[in-house]
Amino acid sequence: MSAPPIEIHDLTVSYNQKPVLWNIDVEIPEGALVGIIGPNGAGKSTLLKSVMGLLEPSSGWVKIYGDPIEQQRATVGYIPQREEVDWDFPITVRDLVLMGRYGHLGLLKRPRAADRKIADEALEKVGMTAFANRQIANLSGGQQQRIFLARALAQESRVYLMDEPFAGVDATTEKAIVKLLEQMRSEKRTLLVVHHDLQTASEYFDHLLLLNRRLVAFGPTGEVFNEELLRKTYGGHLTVLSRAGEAIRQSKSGKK
Amino acid sequence: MNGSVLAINAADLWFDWEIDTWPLLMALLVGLSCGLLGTVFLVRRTALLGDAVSHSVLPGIAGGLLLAGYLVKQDDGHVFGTSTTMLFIMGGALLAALASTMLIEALHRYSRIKPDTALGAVFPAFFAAGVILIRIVARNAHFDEDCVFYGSLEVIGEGSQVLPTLLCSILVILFFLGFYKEILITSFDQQLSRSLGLPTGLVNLLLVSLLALAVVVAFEAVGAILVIALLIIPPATAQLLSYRFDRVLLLAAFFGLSAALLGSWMTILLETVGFETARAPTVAVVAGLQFLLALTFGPEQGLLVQGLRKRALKSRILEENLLGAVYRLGGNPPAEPVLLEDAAARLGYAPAKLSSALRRCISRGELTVEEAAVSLTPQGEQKVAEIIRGHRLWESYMIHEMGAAADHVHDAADQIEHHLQPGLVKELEELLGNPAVDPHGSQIP
Amino acid sequence: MSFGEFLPEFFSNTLRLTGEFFASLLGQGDAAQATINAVLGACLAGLTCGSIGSFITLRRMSLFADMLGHAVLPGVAVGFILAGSKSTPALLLGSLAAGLLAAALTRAITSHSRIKDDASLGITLSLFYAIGIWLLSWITRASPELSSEASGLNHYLFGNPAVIHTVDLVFLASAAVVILAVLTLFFKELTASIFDPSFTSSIGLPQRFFDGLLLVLLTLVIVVSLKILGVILVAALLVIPPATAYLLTDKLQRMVLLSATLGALAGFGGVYLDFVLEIGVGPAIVCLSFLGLMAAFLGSPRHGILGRYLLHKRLVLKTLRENLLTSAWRIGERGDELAAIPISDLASERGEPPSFTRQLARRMKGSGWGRLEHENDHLVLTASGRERARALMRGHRLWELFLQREASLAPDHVHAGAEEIEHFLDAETLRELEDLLDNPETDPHGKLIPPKSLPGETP
Repeated sequence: MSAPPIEIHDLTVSYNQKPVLWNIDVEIPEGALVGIIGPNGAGKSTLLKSVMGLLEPSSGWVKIYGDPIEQQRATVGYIPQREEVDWDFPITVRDLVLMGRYGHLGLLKRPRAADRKIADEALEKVGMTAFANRQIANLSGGQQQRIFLARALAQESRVYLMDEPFAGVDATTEKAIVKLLEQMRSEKRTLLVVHHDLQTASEYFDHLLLLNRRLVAFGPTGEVFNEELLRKTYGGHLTVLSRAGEAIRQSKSGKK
Repeated sequence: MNGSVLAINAADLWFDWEIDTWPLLMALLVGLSCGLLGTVFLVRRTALLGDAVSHSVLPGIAGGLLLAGYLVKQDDGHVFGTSTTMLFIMGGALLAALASTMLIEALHRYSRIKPDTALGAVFPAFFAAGVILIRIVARNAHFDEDCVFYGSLEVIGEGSQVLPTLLCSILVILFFLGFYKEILITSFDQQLSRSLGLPTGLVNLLLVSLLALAVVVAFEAVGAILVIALLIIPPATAQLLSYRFDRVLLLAAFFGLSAALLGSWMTILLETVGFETARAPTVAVVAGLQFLLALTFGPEQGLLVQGLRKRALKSRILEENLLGAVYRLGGNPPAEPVLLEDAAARLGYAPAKLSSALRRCISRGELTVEEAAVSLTPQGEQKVAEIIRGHRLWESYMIHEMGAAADHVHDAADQIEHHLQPGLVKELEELLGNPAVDPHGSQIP
Repeated sequence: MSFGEFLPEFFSNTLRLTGEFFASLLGQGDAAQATINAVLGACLAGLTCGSIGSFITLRRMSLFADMLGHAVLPGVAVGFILAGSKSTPALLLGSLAAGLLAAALTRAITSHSRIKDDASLGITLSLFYAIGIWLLSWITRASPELSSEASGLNHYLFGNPAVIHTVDLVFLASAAVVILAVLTLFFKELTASIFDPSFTSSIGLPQRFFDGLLLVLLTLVIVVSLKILGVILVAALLVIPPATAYLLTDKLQRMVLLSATLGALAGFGGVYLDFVLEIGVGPAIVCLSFLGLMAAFLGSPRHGILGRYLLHKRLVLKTLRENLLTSAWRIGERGDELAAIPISDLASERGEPPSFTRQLARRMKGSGWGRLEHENDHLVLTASGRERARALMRGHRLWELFLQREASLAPDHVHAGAEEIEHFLDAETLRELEDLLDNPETDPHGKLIPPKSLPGETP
């Protein structure tokens, strides 16, 4: 059997010595549309960033199709949270989307006509062609999210990690994103999407990853979207994890 | 002094190319490379890194001079005399710049000192160390301390002194041509850049190195501190005028060049009228003036345009309120003329305040006036109907969709009626199913 | 001059000048008075800068202070031009005005355009500084009477306490009194307004007043310290001693006192160094304080690199010892005796060469948990060592069980996680684990979880 698109092995990630994700161990199957759900502070974004190799794990590892992420950069597209970039940056919508192509170009190479065409098609897919020459600050939240998606589409990756693409968007954008996600799944791409709305989670995704500092459950939506597991995700016995994390931080920073 | 003013000779008002060619070229090159590099640090929100680097190259420069003095034993009277000495200085400056940025990074990463404090602690310390070293150098070699502050653009007398700056500018331009997309992406989104596997760290390192290089070659021309003006102000001016990275870069380069040219020229003009100043600070002051002009008169974000826009909006709201008052007081058609005082009283203004609004409405053919009474023209009626339609639709929306109480919605609708665009009105209509009456029972036009 | 001749001469010179320096502090006459003035001025400047600097750095205004330092220069120049002389009050008033104007411009730029805070600081800094230098360049080239009077204005760039007169000292001392009085009177309000501005306004304190107060005090300090440190370096004394103090103490009062002391000491040291080596007072003061900061950065017991390194070493040693304890426990579990364990058994349990295990066992010394005995061939655990081993194993196996149940981990995946955490579990966490798991007796691998306490020993 070929290696899975994403394999996370016993991953523990810490901020300031304090573990925020504990022993995550999961394999994401090819072509799955996975919703990551869990309460605030559950470590959802942390999980994505660790998969992208943007955070150094304290233990464990992540592999993309059997290789470390460094060798598979072109395979994985990442959509950060909207707040993480400077929207006042002097750049137009088209140029932002074109950035998605940069990973495919070598050093010193400029985007070619083909790259521009791919970027324009991506804009078309998210319905933002009319805004191509706008500065990015002059867009609504939903439009900003859509051009982020367009940039990811331009990356033409097989695996996508999306951090809260539905946060603060209007109904039109939400519909557009859902349509896009389904289209991407039909193209056999693997998608990992952080989501915070329980009501729509079971509707949008075929797999769910329930996360609250540790992996509560992962599986097809029908199997894991039940009251017991959700209660375990959103309530439950987390004081042990917080206490243990605090104990580690305190001994490592000499507070004790 | 008055006598000399009268005796102004046309030749005194323009560059004397025999003396001025090299200083002008030097200023232009410094303006160009600082403008380009400064833009990157500005949009990265690390504008003050330029400040830090320009202060902290000083010990490197002094150390390089000191070392070269021991090893090369040459002294031709210039600060940056021979090319060997120049190499020592460059190396020293580069080391100092990298050491200071690494120390800033280390201080806030490995202790609880905050980044701004780390920056504010490290670069004056480097600068102080540089000053001490320079005092030691000055005992051994010719070194003009004032040059640290004032620069010495005017004493550049031969092409060889401009050569390092020329090379640096060429390097900077080549770097921007070759790495444009890497510079853009690392500046906008380092996470994306790393997630795409681009050499983010390398680009950052090259940028800081080029910055150090640019600061060093600018050192003799404009001094250690004035270079900050050229690193920050032209890029900021450009950012006020454009929304596109490539254009901001070009504009910043342009403003760097124009500050160099105009500043140099202004020194000559001022000197002619007996106001003799150093050339480098004049260039910096001109850069500042350009910024203030752009801040005030910029076409989109300028203070003047913002003010005019605000005023136009205010008078539009007043006119629309006036039309609305005339409509409401006049009753349903056939509308009767309304006294201006009554309309003013309804709006809570003195009648005099409405006179200019009235004049504009009349000139647009929306109102007619007979004696002291005003009435709507058909065109005015059309316009007011649209406004009131928006107002009443909004009230309905607030009550039906947002659960507001009927007696609480009027003020909010008064505000919003002036800002409703046709598209939004249409959306409201669809949402509410084209209602005929508003919550107060008034007809929706 | 060769290095061999240079050094002894350097030392004898230094020694002689040091003697002269301290003699002049007690002596009389013009030269002695100049030295005394310089020392007093530098200490006062260090004291005031250090004390108010604590509030400035904590309010994240370090770079703002740097901007203000540079930006007062045109005020010095304009004050000079208007007064036609280097009259101290005129220069002070001029620079005060320039400082406040610069603060206003910085704010105006950020609030009326999309230029960000740091860039707007940079713009104001370089613009004002450029205007100042521009005016100075004119003054020094202007009519003979103005430029001869102007000689010495350069002191405002780098500072020069050698030209500190009684009037300068009076200004410095009065500024110090005002600033220390305000800081003492409003200590708690300023603390609140720095730590949590919105809370401060919510309890009805005038936050904007305190921000304004801090700004005025800051400008005042900069203005009176200019002649000592100069426009470029004055901010350093506002930032470096407070940053040093911040690394050494966790209490604001102590931080203020410490940073004021450090500032004054740097002032004294700077004047001394300049007297001996002629390197300039301002740069010497800044370099000295920076050395202090570096010392604290490396050596501060709690927040320094060295302290952290030692802590890390201690943790590594503790982990090593504890791992040896748990290996010993596993061996004891299979037999029935936990008294003296052969090194060879330990080595095969841990899958490493016996010589390596012996090295580790040697490091048990000092822990009170066990020691090497029987010709260095057996590890003998003490009662407290056995107790610690039990606690570690109990924590380890409880955690494995917890991971299996709570984190959906397969039994063959839980060991690695437990291996790390066992060293950090404290009593409270353990108790909670016990409750959560209902005091289980076996772990996911079917192994016995050690009891809460060893039989026959104190619970």
